[in-house]
Amino acid sequence: MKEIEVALIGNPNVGKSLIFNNLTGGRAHVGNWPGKTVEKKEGRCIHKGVTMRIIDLPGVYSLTAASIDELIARNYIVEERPDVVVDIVDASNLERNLYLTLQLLELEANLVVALNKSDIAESLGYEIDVKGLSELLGVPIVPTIATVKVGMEELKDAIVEASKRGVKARVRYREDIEKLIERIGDILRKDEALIKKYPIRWLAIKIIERDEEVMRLIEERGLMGELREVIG
Amino acid sequence: MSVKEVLGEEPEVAMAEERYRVIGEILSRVFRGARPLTLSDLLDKAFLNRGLGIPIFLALWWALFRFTFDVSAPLSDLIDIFFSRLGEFASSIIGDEWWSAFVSDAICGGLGGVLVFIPPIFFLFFGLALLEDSGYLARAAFVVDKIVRPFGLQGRSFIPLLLGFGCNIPGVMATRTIPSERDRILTICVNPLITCSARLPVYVLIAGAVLGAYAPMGVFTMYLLSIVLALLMALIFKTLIPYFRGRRAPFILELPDYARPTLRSTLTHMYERGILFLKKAGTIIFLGIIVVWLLSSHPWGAPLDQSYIATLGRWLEPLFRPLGFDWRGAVALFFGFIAKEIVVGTFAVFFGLGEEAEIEEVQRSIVELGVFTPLTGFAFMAFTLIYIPCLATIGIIYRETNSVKWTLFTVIYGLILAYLIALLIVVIGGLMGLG
Amino acid sequence: MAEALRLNRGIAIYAAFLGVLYLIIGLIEFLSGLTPHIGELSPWWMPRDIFGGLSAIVIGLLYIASSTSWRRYESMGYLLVATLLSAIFAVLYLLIAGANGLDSLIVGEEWSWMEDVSRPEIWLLLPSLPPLILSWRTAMRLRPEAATREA
Repeated sequence: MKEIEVALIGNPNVGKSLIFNNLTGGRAHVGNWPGKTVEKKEGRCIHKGVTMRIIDLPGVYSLTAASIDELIARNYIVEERPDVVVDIVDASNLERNLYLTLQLLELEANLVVALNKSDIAESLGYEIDVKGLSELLGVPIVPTIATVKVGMEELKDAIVEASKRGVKARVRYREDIEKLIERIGDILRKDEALIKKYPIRWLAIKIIERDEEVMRLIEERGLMGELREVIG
Repeated sequence: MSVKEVLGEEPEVAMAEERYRVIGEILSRVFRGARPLTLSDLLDKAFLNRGLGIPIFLALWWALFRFTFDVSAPLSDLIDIFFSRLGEFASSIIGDEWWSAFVSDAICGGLGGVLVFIPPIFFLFFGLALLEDSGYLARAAFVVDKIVRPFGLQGRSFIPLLLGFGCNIPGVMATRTIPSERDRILTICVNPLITCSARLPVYVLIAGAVLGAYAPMGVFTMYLLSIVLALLMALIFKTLIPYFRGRRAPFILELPDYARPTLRSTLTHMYERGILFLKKAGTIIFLGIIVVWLLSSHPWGAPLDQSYIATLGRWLEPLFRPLGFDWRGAVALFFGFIAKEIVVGTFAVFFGLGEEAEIEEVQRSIVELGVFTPLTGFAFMAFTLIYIPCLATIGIIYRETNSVKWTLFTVIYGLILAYLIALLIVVIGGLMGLG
Repeated sequence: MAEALRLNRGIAIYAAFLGVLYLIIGLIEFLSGLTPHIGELSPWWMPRDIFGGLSAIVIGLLYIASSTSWRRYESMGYLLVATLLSAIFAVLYLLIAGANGLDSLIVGEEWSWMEDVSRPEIWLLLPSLPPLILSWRTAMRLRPEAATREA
């Protein structure tokens, strides 16, 4: 029996806990993230011969180094490299929610998007071209209504599918930004140990943003000198 | 270029903005926020409804048919009576035998028999214009799209095919709205299978003559057959002909807002399309009928059986004998190549009815002379439905496809298919003991 | 806005009633057309009742749809189209009756006017008046010109 690791992530109040319960049947093992006071929920789900270990990451709006929750979520994805990351998006609040999605794509997470609260979106008169959105982002999207367990089977299917396929999605930014990313990436590539552990594109973007944690990492690896010119 | 140069003093903020910019771009393409509900939205809830959309279309289509034929009937009868009275009058005042016959038989009888169908044609185009201008037809195309996809057609093929029920010519011309060249040509090739208004007189004539109480069903079957064959051939072409293979473009259609069609624009559309038919009637059909009349009344004084046209007919007859058509049917089909209306005109001339060139008379003659049996009559109707498009349509097809190859293809497959289907009808019917 | 378009309970019940009425009549027309009663009812080239019946059934279904979804704005959409179609067919059959009458004058035959004029869909327009008027008012209110005027 195959076993995969699935992380659930999303903005606060998008229905992540509900989906977690739907997937795991409500049985969860609750503990703490190592060395932190933040709660860590784990559960299990068996679907089509695959055992999924489901980790409930904290609800976050983005993945900066600013808060503990965000760091936990981000470090988990970077270090544990879960097989699939399920980004739960509130369909009635797309713009805000997609911000996290883009950052997850930067992290090169193997993403499946659960478009939750589809009923609320519809009642508000929103029309979402799910297929089009899926094509533009490059990730599978499953519409769900967690409150009545709609879309759960499809979500499980998508997770299993994604675990077989692997990361492919990417969103491109402005041309000049992409060039910067490339330049930084070229410099980073020289550090083989570094690039084996972290996704290059993500590192480059974090360097551009002067992310605290990443900058510290870069200093430790002694790459600051080369990068100074690019950073300016 | 350094980060500071590209993104300024606060690159983190700049990156956040860039992310939101990308999101905005994505959403503009896949997201429609709540807008105030418009009348179009409401109407579309019903017209585009998954379950009810098609039934609504069929109901409206049915209403159009009833309107076209039943409401225009008085006008048709008026024309019919006019021409037959004219014929009587002419033959009474024209001294010369030849000219008298020419005016009353060829012109009043033959041509009149064709002009009788002008009212239904104009009514049909009027109704179609209403449906089109109101914006509804786009919805119908949208709903139909899902259904015809497996057959290789698409919603955009729908309106041209629908127009084909009036006349294949505007139908073929309407294919210009299909962006993909492959789909366009496929729709053009299949268009002649849609039974146009010119063929209707033939159905009415023959069905009325030999099918008796089942005449309405018989005519309706022709319309059904037309649709079935169009879909079937589209499917066959798509599967067998390499040129047509390949994935279809997804159907993205901007649905126009519903609008109240103005009387003026509707009448204009009706006029534009109807006038094409009139021109055709005035020229090609008229000439064709005159030719037919000339050939059938000469050598002068000889009975029909020994006229020039009969000679031509007997020459063609062997081709059609397996189908049960005699030389009259053969000749009618032959001249029907020029314009399908001539088929009826030919029969009208044959049964030499000068005084009252009324449909019933011609039908009676058909039955009395045993020209068709119910089975062969039915086969004849099917043959008329399928075999080559009329001359004018062939001309348009050539113009629109710009290719001799496709034009010839359409002509040839039409002939072959017509023969096959007619043969099938006769054979199967014979086996079933219908005669 | 969406709320304002919902039907109130009264109209919803009325629509259901109309819907059932159209359904029954449509079914009868359909079935009687199916058996070879082609006789004098049908015009000389189409079996009338089968498809006339089906059309009436469609109208009935639309009324019922508007009734069952009365809490949501779709109900107004269904009602609009239901009344539109019922009006179209009523007018159609009236025109046909008139044409038949005219025809009998021209050709000099008897006009079976009783049959023509008693066509159910014509008379069903009377009970359809309340929803029809409601539809008309709503349509006028929602027209794009109205929106820009308010803005």
